[in-house]
Amino acid sequence: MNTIALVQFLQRGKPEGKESMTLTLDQAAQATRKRPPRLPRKRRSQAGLKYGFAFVAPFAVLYLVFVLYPVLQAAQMSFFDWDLLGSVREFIGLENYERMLWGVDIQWSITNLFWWRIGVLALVAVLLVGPIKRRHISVWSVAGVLGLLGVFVALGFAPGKDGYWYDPTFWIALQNTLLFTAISTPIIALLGLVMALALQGQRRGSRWYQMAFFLPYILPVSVVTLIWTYFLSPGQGLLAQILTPLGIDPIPWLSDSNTALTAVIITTIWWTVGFNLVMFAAGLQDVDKSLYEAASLDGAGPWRKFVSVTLPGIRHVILLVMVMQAIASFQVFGQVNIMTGGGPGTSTEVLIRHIYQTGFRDFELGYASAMSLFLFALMLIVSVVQMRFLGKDDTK
Amino acid sequence: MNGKRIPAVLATVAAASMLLAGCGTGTGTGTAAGDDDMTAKIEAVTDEQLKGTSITMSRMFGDCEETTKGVTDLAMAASECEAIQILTNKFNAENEHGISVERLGGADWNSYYDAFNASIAGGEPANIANLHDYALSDYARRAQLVSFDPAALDIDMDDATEQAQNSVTYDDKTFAVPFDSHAILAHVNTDVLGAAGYMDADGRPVMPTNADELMAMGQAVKEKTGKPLMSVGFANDDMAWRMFYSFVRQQGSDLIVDGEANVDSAEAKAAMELLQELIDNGYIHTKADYSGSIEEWKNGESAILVNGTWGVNEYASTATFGYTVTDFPTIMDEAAVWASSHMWVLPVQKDNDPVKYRASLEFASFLYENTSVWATATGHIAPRVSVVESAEYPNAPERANYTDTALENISFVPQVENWTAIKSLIHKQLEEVWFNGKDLDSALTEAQQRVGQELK
Repeated sequence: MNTIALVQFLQRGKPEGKESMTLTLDQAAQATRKRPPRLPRKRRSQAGLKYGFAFVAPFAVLYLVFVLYPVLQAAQMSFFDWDLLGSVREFIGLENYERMLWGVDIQWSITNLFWWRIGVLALVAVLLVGPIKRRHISVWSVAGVLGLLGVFVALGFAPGKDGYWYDPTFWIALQNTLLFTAISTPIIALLGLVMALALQGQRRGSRWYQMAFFLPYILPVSVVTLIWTYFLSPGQGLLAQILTPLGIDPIPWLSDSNTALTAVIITTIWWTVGFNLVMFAAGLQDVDKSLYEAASLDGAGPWRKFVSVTLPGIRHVILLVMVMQAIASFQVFGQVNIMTGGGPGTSTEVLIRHIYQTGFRDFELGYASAMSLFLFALMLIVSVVQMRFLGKDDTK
Repeated sequence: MNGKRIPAVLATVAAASMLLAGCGTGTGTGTAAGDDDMTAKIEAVTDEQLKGTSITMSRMFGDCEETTKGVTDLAMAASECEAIQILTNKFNAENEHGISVERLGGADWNSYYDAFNASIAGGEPANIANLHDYALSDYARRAQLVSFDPAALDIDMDDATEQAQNSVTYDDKTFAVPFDSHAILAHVNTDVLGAAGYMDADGRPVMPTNADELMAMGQAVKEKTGKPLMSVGFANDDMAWRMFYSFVRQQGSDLIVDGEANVDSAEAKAAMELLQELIDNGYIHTKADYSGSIEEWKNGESAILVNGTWGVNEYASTATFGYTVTDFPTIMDEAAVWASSHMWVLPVQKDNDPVKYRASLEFASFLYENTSVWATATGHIAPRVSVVESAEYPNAPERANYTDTALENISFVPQVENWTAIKSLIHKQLEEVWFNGKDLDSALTEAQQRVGQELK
């Protein structure tokens, strides 16, 4: 704040007397005299930049080397036939992308995935309701509508009678990944919130419960999957031993394609819900207590308080949890790789596992990079959409 | 320079330099190491040069440092890990050249290749490493392995079984020293099979010789004991796939013939139909994974466990029921059973030092000389005819009951590029039939098409 602004501020704050104003101006003048000589604007700016760079340099270097560089190299590799072990590095343009997204005799049909696409159109309609009412459409709404229409068109492509996708496993893995994310993200987030609410306040033992629920989160994936594989085993598992006396036959959770993904989701919930619980618990502590008192005075019940005070108060935590959880779910790998190996059949095959196998088992780093970038773009879009919708501040 | 342009310029320079660096990273070490010149240099290494050489070793079989530290008594070996570690200790302690072998990790077999690939991609592989037969061609083709002349190094490859000899060569050159073969066997609970009336007067299982006899056996076990005939790992396991492959090979067919996909064949269909009939009749089931199948059989809930040679010693010493083992039954036309093998290879090094290559071969030669120890301790099949036919070999538990497998029946998978991916493509289609009710013809057609794509 420069001197004139300071004076103006003080004038606004103390408008009542000349004396006070004079005193304030004297003080301001003294303060100005005590300061070191001012640098020219340009030099100041450069000095600030220098310190700014110095402060961010440690992070920036690591970020460049371990994040930006791999992403840029993956982008470069995706245009190559890049062998993990050999010296073959042939530029092949967009062939990896074609292999990922295209096939032989691919045709467009209005009936393909009909109901899913009707759902997409319904979403378009929902997006347009607000702008039509306001008679004004924002850039975000235009982008959303165009994006959904793009999805609508893309879902119309499918192999013809004698056709096939070049990489059908990619589509199966994408479908399973989306399913896993769509199911696990809201459940884990909601359960975390419910548990945080249940343990809210100074209830006896709530800290212990928080620790107990958080404990699985610190376990490595190998331990978690081992525990659950044993627990769910139809032969010697604890669950089977509990259910058998109740007359329920042991369920082969991991070897039945109808239950395998469910088992992986349950394992993931147990493993990670504690983290969200802690996040929400921290968020709940930050909600202004006086708002609850005010709401009580206005006659609000628990539900009304939750909807009108708690939820707006933890809006940013909800956004953070949802974005982080969605990103984590898109990257599901360890549980699937150890518990089911992507099976039975392809019922739990997920994108990261397919990328891993393509790159490290089949040595095709170029194609694996192309799929990684696709997943990166997908996660980016989902995160932006979540931030756009959940991050909107209605209080303004 | 304008301050606002600094970040942009820095980012551009960093990105450009990294991309350029990226073009130069990776391997490309496979130069000239596999040629005749290097073979001659390896042979020319003298005893003096070898003195005190230290080499690194990368292997599977897990970690057992605590139980084997300082142990050189081969009789103490009771598992794969202990056997290889004690052999390594013995070599370190007793080899005449003072060569020392340092182990770099000991992963399980299914995660081993990630670390091995990473070491090659990083340009720092171990001097000696172990591989399965099906993986050899992937590395030999990429010039990542050193070839050598076994005869010139006193490695008696003529004593190896025909299958073992074939499995260590690629493009008419030898790239590995064989260590073992391992196949699937029928591990028998003689109590259950006896109750079904399938044990003969000599106390040996009466095994089926065709599909009808197999079904009759399944029916008898089911009716008389209420148990399934076999426990097989179907879920997240390869055992059912191995049965399928055995039945294909028993018909004289294979899944890759002359470099072309041969999955959509009458033989593959017949193999799957046989398995499906066993499933439909309740003689085997698809609900067990690897450990589940073993548990089921160990609890006396089935007559036969389909598992590999690696289980023989453990079951012989721990089974709480009558235990014996037989060759995997020949149900189709000719004796054949899925098999794989372990072997020792020399990854190409950056410095191409013939002394280290020679030292590694000395160690590989020692291991080849001691395949009897390895086979006795693990249940695996020695790759040498002289060992299998020796007077001592049958003294180890149950070994006399699978010498046919050892010498005749074992059938390695096709030695083609990227077999692991090809096998996975076929296996996934078979799983679609077993678990998702996919039509068999459609599954085989898709497998054929996918494998054909992969082979291009």
